[in-house]
Amino acid sequence: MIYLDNAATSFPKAPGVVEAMVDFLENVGANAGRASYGQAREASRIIYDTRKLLAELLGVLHEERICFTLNATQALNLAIKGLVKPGMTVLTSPLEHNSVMRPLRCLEEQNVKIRQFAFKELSVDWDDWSAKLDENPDLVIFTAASNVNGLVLPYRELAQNARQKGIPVILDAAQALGTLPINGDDYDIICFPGHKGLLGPMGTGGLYISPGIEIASLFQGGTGSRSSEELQPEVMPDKLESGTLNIPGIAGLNSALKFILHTGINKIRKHKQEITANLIYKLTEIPELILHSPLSVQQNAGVISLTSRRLGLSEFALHLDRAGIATRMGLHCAPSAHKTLDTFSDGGTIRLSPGYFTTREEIDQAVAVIKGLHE
Amino acid sequence: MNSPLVITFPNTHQALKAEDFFKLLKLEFELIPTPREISAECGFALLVYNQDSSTIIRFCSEKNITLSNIFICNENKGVKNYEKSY
Repeated sequence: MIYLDNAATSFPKAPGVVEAMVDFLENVGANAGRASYGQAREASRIIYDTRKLLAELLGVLHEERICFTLNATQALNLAIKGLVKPGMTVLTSPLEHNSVMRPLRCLEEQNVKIRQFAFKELSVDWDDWSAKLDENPDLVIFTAASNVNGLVLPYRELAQNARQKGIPVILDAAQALGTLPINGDDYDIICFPGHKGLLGPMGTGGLYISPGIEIASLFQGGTGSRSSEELQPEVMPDKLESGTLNIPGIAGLNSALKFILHTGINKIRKHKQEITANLIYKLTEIPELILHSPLSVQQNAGVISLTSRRLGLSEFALHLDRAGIATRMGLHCAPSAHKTLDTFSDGGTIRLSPGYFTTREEIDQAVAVIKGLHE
Repeated sequence: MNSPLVITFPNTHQALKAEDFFKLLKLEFELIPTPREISAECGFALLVYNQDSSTIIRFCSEKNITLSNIFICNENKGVKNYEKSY
């Protein structure tokens, strides 16, 4: 199989991830934060160390403000529903995943108003952005990079503009963390998965909440702290981490983060850019294909969306499946993004997303198959 | 010689952060289950030898470690008594 679905989840995982998970399950196995015997301490230590590694990656000092979740969707729900109050206005991009749009739409029932800034071609319409920002929304939330076509938004600049006006910013880093440079303190909240660019296992993710930002807890329960009280503790990260964490997953994420930090974001980004550039170059040589992604790898996080003038979407996907090429067809849980790209009414696109472990040979083979389908 | 100190924390994270820092400082200490007579905040506490409260408070403040309380642990005829000093 040639795996080109890293925007859904990375495969393979970083070296050492599986071993760390097996080691935890076979040799540690205890719950964390609830007891002081050796294995329980070891479990607590794995969580603590992983939080510190994430803090290092994000360049932040307050690792206790990083909370673990099961995925980016859960992190985004915590951030959005923990911050947005009835009657508020939220400004967002038109390229958002449903993990942002569905929680926001759900809040419309509480009279929350959603505004979207416009794009012109594949760029932010800065006039529209400024105008919408001047309406003083209560919150701005946007993705760092589109999961549909890889477009890298000017996320630092957008956040800076909003925060200069005192408007808090939530960054959806689902397609960005581990691939693009992200400084945690440039945003009020960052939500991320552990299983995509961070190369960790599924069932891991989290959010970083900057000092000074307080969000309500969506879940309440056991935290191992202040057990004499029936009110949820305010102390972080306990406030947002009720119940047993996915410690085997966090042990795997720990190994993945060590790999990422050792390799370096620049090297990872460079490799993904080379692979993506090669893929884009070869695909543009097939005249029947329409590419819906930025062709410049500076503006692309490593996701290519395409459609064919000759083949219908499902026919195209079926041929790729049969040839052993793993891609994802459809709307990619992002109807708003597909409407913006004008690919919604046709049912979406075929998405190719290489990863850090994708080789040039695999790209050549995949392109050869796609070329063959169009001869 | 100072009596040992029991330092309690609001949660496991802060206890482990203190453990890391105290190791670095080569303090003589051990991680213990928090004595139930003094706190139910966090399951772990640090039992620190040969230090005084003000030094511990300064160390914790240097590293942004949030501690809950410090108790002086006295033992009289085998019975432990915890006197709150912070």
